[in-house]
Amino acid sequence: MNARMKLISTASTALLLAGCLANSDTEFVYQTQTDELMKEAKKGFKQPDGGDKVWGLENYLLDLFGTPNDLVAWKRLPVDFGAAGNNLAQGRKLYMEHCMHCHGVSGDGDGPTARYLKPLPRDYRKGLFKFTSTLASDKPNRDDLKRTIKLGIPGTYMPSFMLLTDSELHSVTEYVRWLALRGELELKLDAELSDYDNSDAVRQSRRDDIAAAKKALTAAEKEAEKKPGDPALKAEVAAKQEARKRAENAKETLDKDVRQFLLSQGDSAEDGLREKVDENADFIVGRWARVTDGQNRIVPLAPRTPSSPESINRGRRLFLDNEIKCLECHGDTGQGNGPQTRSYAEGADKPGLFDDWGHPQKPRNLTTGIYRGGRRPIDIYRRIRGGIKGTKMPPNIKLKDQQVWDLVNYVLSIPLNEGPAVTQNKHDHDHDHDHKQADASGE
Amino acid sequence: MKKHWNHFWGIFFMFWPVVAILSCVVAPARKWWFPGVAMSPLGERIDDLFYLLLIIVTAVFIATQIAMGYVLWKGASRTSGTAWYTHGSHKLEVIWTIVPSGILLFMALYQLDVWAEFRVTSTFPAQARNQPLAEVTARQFEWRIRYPAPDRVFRGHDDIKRWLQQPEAGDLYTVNDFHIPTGRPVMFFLRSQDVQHAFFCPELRVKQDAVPGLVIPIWTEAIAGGDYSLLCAELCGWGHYKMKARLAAQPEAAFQKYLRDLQTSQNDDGYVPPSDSSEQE
Repeated sequence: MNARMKLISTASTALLLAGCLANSDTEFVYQTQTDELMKEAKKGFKQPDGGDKVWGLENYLLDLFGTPNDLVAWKRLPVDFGAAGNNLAQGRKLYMEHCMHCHGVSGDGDGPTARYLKPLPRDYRKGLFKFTSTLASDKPNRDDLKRTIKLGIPGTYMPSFMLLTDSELHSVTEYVRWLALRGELELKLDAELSDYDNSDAVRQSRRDDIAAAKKALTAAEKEAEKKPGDPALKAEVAAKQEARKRAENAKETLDKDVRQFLLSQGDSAEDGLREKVDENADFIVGRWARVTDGQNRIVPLAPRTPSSPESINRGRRLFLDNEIKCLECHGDTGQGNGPQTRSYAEGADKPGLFDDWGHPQKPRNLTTGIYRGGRRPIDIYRRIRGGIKGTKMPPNIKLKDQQVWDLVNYVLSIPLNEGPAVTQNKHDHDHDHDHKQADASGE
Repeated sequence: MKKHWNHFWGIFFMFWPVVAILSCVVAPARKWWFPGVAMSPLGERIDDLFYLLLIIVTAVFIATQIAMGYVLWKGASRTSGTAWYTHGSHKLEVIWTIVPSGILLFMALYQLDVWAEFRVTSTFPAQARNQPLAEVTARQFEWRIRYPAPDRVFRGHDDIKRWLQQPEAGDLYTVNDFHIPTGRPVMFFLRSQDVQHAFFCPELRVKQDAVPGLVIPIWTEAIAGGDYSLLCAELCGWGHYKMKARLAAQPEAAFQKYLRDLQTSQNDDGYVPPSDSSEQE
């Protein structure tokens, strides 16, 4: 072929091959609270007298967890890393293939396909998972997560991964737990560093403070001009000048403060935040570790009352009870349209319910027969007893077991009814009679 | 030199058909072929049809390729003389229109039986038609299965329709794990919860599109037990390639036991009677 053909074919081959240089710079993202911290708190700082770099939050996370392509198995965590971190590596591979596109590289529920999904995929980073068997204040145990992965969540975009082998299921569950632990530690450290917030809101309030101080100074100066020589007014002006200087120096003072804080948290400059990291890690680890061996599970103390019209009736009466308040959210027909969906929660600017991730949350429509957390009686029992973590579905520990079973029987019967269940009871029956008579008389 | 170059294209175009035939000859041994023997009676008949077509088509292929090879070679060998013009041959045209049409017509009519038995509900085995096994709902990206209660007996078409429209208290639900009994024909209904999918079990030679809004009956019979693949064969989104489930064929007794176990676990109330030791929660 001639020179031009050769050039074109070489160039296009080169371009094609360039695609093979995979961009493997995947990184974990940081949460908003971290992004809004001051630079020193986030990334640490170099000491002016040439000592070692003092670490910030991001440095610690990088050191203890690594990057997606370079994972670190921090032994302190209650994660089964497997021999030589095999579990983590296999878990990561499976996660990237099956889970990442919805749940995101960092488990933030914001992967590439997440934007098309409603409800949104789970954000693991608060360590909150909805469908668990543990007490309301506890973390999920491994079985809960495995069950969710294996059976999927009907009514959402989470499919069932039934065909994973046991080893694959185990490793991907461990990876998810690892991501959750990383997210929780990050949030805890954000709380420790919360004084060093550099978000837009805080920066704006600093600017507002300076503007206010300037205004006060001008007003004081004007007052002093009217009565020159007055010592009280002169003192006012001096005070207002001080205030303005303080407002303008606020950022500088904070800079000094944050360095002080980071340096003071440890024996040597390298330790910095280390103590806080260890403290918070221990706390988080304790919460996860205390459910790993099946402790703190919600287990009924009485067997299920067999389903019967009587039990279902009792359940319905409990459902409509003013003290128990099911119908506040779920509505009296169980369609998820109760009064709470139309009222404003404290501090909200939109009506309705919101979950712990800040998203609008509709109470479950119980008439569809879709049970996201499972349709076994024990699953419904656990939703009622333990609530649903991260949502406004509260736990109820006051009801007796028999009452909860009646409720469970009622809930399971709702989709099978042709219409709203009617509670049979003498008083109601008489009431119907009265209405019929009234209608007959044309009123 | 020129003479050899003339034959180049003839050789080139004869080379590839030979490669094709050779590939087909070695394909079964190298597993470039069907996923094993058909595991259902109708599947066996479908395979028979396939082989019949293959034989017919191979014979025609070899004949036409030899003819083309001959023409290419002869034409390239002729280095002198001018081309001659022909008006064609009407007789030849008629022959090579009627004969292939006849073959095609034969194939079309010959396969009608098998096609009808697979697609036309009224030809389904009555035993399967009257007592449907399950309702299989495809959704992105899993297979959700609903069985009627193990002791449920359907009384007629209306009863079945009612069961399809309204779930019942004893129904059993699973996902991505479809069990069928072996040794008898079974029928199930295919639905879709969202977009088009297709129920495809290669070993049983069953393939049927799932169209949202339609409830489509499918019947099959597994000759032998085993774990077969249930794949999606209609592009349904980013997860289509991994929308795979397990289709487990079990002998009747094992299948009934499976349903009973499923019923027990679906009614699990999590209650553990207290043991003799005083370990209470």
